[in-house]
Amino acid sequence: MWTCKNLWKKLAPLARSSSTLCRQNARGVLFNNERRLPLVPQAHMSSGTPGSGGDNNLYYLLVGATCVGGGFYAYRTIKGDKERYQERINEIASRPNKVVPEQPITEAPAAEPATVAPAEVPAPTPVEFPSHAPYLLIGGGTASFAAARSIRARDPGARVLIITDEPDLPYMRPPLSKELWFSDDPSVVDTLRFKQWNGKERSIYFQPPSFYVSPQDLEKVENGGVAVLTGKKVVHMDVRGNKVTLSDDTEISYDKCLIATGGIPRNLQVIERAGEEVTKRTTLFRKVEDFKALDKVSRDTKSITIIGGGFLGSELACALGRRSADSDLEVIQMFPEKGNMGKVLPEYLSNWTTAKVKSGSHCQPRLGVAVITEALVKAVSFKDGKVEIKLKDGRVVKTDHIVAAVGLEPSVELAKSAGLEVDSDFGGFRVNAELQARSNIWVAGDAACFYDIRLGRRRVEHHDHAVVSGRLAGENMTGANKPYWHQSMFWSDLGPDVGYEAIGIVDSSLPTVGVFAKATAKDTPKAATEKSGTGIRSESETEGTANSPVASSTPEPPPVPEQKDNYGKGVIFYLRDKVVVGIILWNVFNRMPVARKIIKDGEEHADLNEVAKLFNIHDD
Amino acid sequence: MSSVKEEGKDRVIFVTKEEHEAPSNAELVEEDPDDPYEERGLILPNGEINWNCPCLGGMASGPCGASFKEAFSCFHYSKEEVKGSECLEQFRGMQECMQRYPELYPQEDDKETQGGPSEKDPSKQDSAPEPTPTPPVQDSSPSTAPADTPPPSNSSASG
Repeated sequence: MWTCKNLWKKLAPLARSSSTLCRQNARGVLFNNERRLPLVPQAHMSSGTPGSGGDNNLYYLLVGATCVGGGFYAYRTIKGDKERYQERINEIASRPNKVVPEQPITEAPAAEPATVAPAEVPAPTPVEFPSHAPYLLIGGGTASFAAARSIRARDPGARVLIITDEPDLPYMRPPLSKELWFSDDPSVVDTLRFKQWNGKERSIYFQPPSFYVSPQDLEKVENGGVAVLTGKKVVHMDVRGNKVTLSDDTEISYDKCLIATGGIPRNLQVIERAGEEVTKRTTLFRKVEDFKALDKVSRDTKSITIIGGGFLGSELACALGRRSADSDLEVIQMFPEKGNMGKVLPEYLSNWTTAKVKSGSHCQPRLGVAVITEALVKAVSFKDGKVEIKLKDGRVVKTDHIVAAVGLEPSVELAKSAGLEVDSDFGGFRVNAELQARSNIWVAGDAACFYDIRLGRRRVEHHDHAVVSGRLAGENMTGANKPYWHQSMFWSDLGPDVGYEAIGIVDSSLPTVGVFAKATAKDTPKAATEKSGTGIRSESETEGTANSPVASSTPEPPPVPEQKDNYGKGVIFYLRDKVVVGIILWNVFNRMPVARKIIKDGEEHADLNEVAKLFNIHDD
Repeated sequence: MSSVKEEGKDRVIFVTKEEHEAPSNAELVEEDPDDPYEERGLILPNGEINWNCPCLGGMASGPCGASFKEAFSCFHYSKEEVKGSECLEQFRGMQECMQRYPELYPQEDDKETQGGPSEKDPSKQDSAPEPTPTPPVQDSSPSTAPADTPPPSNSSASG
């Protein structure tokens, strides 16, 4: 009501002048014939015009109408927003092949009970759950596993319970879009084993089942352990009571809790609305089951289109393009940017990379991948047995299957019941520099929007970050009180010729300085790993790291096409206010500690060429 | 000769090997060895063992974590002439435990598949370090860290 009063005060002079005009125009018509409006109490009037009660009535009418109109509009907008938000949540929740989450148990009348249908429910015999877990980790991915290991290392005899809605034990994600596709083993889809940088084979699972304790033994086993509850989803969190509720209404209480729920792949709205014939021919790639499904699709279809030009999209394009060497598979990649990794690499480098992807000289010597840049998908339909993708500029692409790699939506459904803050800029749960959301609750991995002391608030969706943040969360859950300090890195390979490692904020919208040397045939990811034997490309030293493919069965890649500017190898600095906030090591390996140091210092360097010298880019 | 190009807001410099041979005059901030935030290697500044060192892999956190910690602590603080000679009991205990989990702690002689496939879970993999009866524990994961030597650069504080 006070706003109305203020509004009134502001509008009164305006109303006054307009009413004068009105009076002049409508004298004798409007005021004399209209029924007199109830007079506003004297106290509210800020105008002292010697006007008749009619003037005041008009002021009141105008301002009142504005207030009501404004209020009505605001109400509708908020309601609409809420509806749109709910719609979006429901859309995400109701995707096919997904576990439908139950609405959190709140007072909201809109809550609809939805039954959960986990992908593969374990055997009919009911598993006994522990009723209390000193350390409860929600989510069974990389961050969660890293935290579990950290907790066990620091708190002897700790009892850690991981709850995951997937049927699998914790596994690492990078090989799903890289190494597993390059394996020569035809049974790789079942074994999920791949060859590491050092030639040794390993499974994507962090640990075999024998590492874990069974949930029912967790409370009793002598030295504690890590137990994993698969196929269960946490749907409600009671922060005051320190307990969570699962989809089957079981309650588990905790002392300390980690939320590492990761996220689910985003989809394009045009695909979601395109009908079942299209959606069932669309893969949203994230989990083991998606890898298995896509592997099958790649053998059964003739044409796959990948929508998305970022890490996942480009890696899958490379992986599928490689597979197309043995079959007739047509692989198309399309994205709205001008080049692959358009949001990460500076334009000149993105263009150079795209040219390589197109020519196929990178990961697939013969066929290559058909890359369609600046492609905005307007509509998708299913016609004559083919999926038809219509682009905004009129081009039409006909394909058998779509893989959408258009980003990740962090899973924050628990925020509501837990009363946790969700970040509006980056998405995810908002946590402090020590990854804490509230007392006894930490968040790590893809779902955590945290404060990086050096680089500011951010949310990072990379494997090494999941390891680093998971480990840190585990440390803090056992009393370390350390902030996010060890900068995580990431890497990407686009075949044996183009590979890079990166650290910090690597955003193509920032000004960059790139220092390059002419590349020789010796400077490729393949050569680097073969030669060094001991060098690693990933800084996170837990077992959960996968590195570039070594055993590539492709023949010698053709000589690099002579280009005016050959960005063979070098260092690219990303600057924000003249300070280096991100670095890419382009085909330069085993120099990550130097890069990490430069970012940590946060100094202004006058000549970045001098800084580049520290990397010895000309050496192997 | 180096060449400098401006591609909009991005600068590109091509340099020859000779140009980069001269030592860099870029200044780096001096490292603080007592920085509480830094990632530590295997041995903490106060002399204690950092059980959370990535170099240990899953050794301290797995089912045999407790016995591993006992054995390794004993070795670390041993002041004997032959370091760790009084720790045989602990190491035996550790080995016994590890033998109960051949999947997690494969012995040197049976590297890959051996015996019935029904025994081996398809997701068998090499757990980080390969336990040997005598210290130091060899680590087969990417970052190697023999017990008492300083950790490799990739996990050091100044990294």
